[in-house]
Amino acid sequence: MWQGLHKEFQAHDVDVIVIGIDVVPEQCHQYMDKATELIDAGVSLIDSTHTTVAALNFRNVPMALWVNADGTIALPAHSSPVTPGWGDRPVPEGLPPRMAGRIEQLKAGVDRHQEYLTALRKWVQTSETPPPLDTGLTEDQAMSAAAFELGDHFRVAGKTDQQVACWRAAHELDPNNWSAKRQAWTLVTTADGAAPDLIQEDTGPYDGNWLDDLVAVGGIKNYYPPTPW
Amino acid sequence: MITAELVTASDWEAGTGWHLEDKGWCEGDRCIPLNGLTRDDEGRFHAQELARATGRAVYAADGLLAVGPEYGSGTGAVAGSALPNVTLTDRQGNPVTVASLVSRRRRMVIHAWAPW
Repeated sequence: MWQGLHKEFQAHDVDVIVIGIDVVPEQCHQYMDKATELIDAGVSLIDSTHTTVAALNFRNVPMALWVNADGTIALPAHSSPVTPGWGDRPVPEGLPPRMAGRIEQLKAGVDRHQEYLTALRKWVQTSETPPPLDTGLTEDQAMSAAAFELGDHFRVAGKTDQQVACWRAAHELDPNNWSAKRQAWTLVTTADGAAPDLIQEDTGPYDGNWLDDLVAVGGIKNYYPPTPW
Repeated sequence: MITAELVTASDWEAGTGWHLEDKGWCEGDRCIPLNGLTRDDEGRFHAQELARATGRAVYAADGLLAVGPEYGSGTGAVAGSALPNVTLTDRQGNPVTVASLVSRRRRMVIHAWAPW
């Protein structure tokens, strides 16, 4: 979808920059290779240190921010659904029970993708932005980002115990930093050489898992960050 | 990443974007005075104290200290602020800075996704 928007927005001098977030950059490659149009345009990048989580407040995905031509932020980080949600689609048969349970949760969410696309196209065509949100972090959220960064330093250094301690602290300090939680969980639950596990059930040394934590925050309505429209 | 409780001005400048002037630590049009900040004989600052003074979170473990983003209402990547100059990589692993994207003088939609 973003490839199509990139092409559409070119006429308005707007570039789409796509950033894949994963501490294992190779996990992004297969998806990037499918999006060859974006790769060719030089706007498909990888964030292998979660730098954008701390700097741009991308604490979940999909999220986006809009940037003016002078490099100032037009609209801070926000949820950016550009494809339809699960809505009335049936849950596919044969899924592992917890994956099916999570899709049931997703189905209960409000599908905002048309509203988002309308607001995005309006900005592209007229530069008119929705009222901005205050996306300033709390001290705990900022400290969570620091704990994640330190944990990743230990991960690269092979100091697993210290890595886990830091990432557990990151999760506790900011339970809604789903980027930090899902990154940690998937590293535990993904077999070597396999594509990222999307069930993330038995998360080993970390507390919680995707489905139970999603239910714990009150379901899908509290899962994605708020939007300004 | 800071490897000690004490930090040099140049390390703090490199890691946070704040810079040391005669009137204090400054970032953009904001400055905080130096009085009240502890320095050792070599002029180094106490990292935790400097972090609090500049509104940055820190997390310490195993003798290392990571400086987190700025916190508080209206801080960070808010509307009207300059896009932070983070460094990412392309498909081939080459570094790409956000500043190089801004230099195109075109508007941008920056979209984050993840394979997990």
